[in-house]
Amino acid sequence: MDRITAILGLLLAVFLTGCYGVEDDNPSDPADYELNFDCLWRAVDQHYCFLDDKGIDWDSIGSAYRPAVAECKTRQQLFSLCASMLDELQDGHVNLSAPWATSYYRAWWSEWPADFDERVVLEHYLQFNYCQLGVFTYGYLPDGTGYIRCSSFVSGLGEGNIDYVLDYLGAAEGLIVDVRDNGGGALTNVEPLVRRFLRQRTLMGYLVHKTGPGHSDFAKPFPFHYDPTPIGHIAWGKPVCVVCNRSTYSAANNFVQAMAAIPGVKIIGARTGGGAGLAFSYSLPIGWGLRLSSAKILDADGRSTEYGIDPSPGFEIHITPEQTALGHDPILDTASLWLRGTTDDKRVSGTLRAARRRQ
Amino acid sequence: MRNCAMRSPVRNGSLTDLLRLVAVVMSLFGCLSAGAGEMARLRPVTSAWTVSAGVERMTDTYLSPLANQGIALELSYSRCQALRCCPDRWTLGMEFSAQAGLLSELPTRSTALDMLDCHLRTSAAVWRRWSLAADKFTVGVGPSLDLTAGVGYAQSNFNNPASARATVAAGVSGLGVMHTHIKRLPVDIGCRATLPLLGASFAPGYTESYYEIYLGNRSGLVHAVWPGSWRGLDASVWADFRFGNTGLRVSYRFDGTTRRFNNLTLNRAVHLFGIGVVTDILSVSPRTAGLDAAQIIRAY
Repeated sequence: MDRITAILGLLLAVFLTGCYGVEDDNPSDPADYELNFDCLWRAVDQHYCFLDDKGIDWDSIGSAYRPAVAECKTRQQLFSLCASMLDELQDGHVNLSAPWATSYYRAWWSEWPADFDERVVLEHYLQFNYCQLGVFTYGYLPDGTGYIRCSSFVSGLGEGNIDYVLDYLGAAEGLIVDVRDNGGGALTNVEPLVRRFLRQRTLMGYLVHKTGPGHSDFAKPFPFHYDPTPIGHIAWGKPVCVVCNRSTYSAANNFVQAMAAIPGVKIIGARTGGGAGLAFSYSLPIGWGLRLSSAKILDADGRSTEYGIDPSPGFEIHITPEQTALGHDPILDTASLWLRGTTDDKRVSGTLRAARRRQ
Repeated sequence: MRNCAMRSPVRNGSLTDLLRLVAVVMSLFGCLSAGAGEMARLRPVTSAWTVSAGVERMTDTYLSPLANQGIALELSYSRCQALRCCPDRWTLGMEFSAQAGLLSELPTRSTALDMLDCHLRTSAAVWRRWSLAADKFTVGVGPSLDLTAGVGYAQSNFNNPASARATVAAGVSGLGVMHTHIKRLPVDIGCRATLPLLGASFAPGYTESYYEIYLGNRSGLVHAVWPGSWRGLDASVWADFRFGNTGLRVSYRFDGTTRRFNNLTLNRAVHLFGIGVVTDILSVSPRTAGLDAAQIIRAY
């Protein structure tokens, strides 16, 4: 009996003091190329959220690239090999960061026209008469249309700052929000801007995170809503359109997705770049950083916008180099034209009010 | 107050320094005559402030699959006092501590600081106390309650920069103290271990962002703590070198946690070596009766 008690006690002690294992924890040799390759492959296998959606056979890709690891003689060669493997994911949110470079899948935008030249807008449309506030450039176009360019969502503006911008543009009958070449940033910086155009609490989409390492281990989609303009701040109740291009990516893609869910908002320009995955960061034993999409963001209809958001029907516009050389921006021209047409349209004239709701 | 005998004010053969102090206090209030004939039971608080430094090793797979290691710092305050209701047998111990770990990723440790790991902790334990070997040893065991809140922060991470942790857990705690002398200097050598067993803990989903939680998705965040999912051990050893009412504390502490929720693993081990001040504090009401024959009941 005493022996049984001792054995049970020992087992209990081992049970209570044992640690959970972690696969990548403390490898013996951080410079082991095969080990690092496997860590990278496993991180993608367990955390990347679009493997099934994109029909990617990650096992096959790993098998195809793994033999080449033995041929890598330098860290740079290993980096190039790993970067090539990551490019198979066709995702701008997937990066491998080494001390000398960060890998980046560029084909999602490089094969598309630029559709934007900031100099053309500043010189020929704003005549260099504009205001700059953080990531916002704003002013009036020659026809009186209000114009806001948001170059990034990496940093945001405070509610009071947005009030100043909308108040300044209050005389305009329509507003263009330009998010071309906006590579994204934080989703928390998207919401304050979108709310200024909402009349009511609105379903903006769904968030879907992974629940485990399996390719199909996903939580139930969580619907998220944005509330309308905070009480005491300026809401924009006049017509608005969003202009975008292929380099509108990530959080900016989410901005377009959110604005497209608002009735009456027109999306003009080119298909956005997508990037509808929330990027998480991890590390490899060799000291490199890895960033990859780990949770999905779906639109209000439950569809993935990973591959981008199309402009409103009939409003896909591209800019040729010749037009740019002549100082023309057909996307802005189309947006202004649509806004003028809308403001002339009695059907929507009732909405033309700068809804100042100061208390 | 010296290292006087627990529960026995006469073991040292005379009125203790503490009683002298009490007498002074009482005389100031002119209340020495109150309650003559009744024996007051005084329960001094043994409290300690300790500053510690050591090493920490931590793996949090929400932040990184790799282990992190670095220096750990801690400031803690602990107090022990015999329970009011049954001071002869039970002691209440409480501790408040703040820990900070400054960590870098293993195995490369390519940057000086990859991760911050900060924790605030409150724990309380009630020990059933026994005196052994003519009061040379005190041992105790009883239930404990731990509240821990902390965060691991990886500065280079994008949407997973922080891993918040909060746990409330009940468990068992043990105490052992040896009262001895080094030459003529009273020394208390003690150890204490707390083993949380049941409770609740916070952990985000496998790749759940805090933005999603902020937007309102609160499901699956709270998990039951039991030894199959969460194991922790907080153990410390100390030596108090008593110089009158105040002493010098030298301590070692191990604070270890391992847990697995939502397919995420946290392994955390902290070794701390500390130095501090330990004091015995007694607050006495002027209306307390029978102080002339008061019985002092120490925490251990």
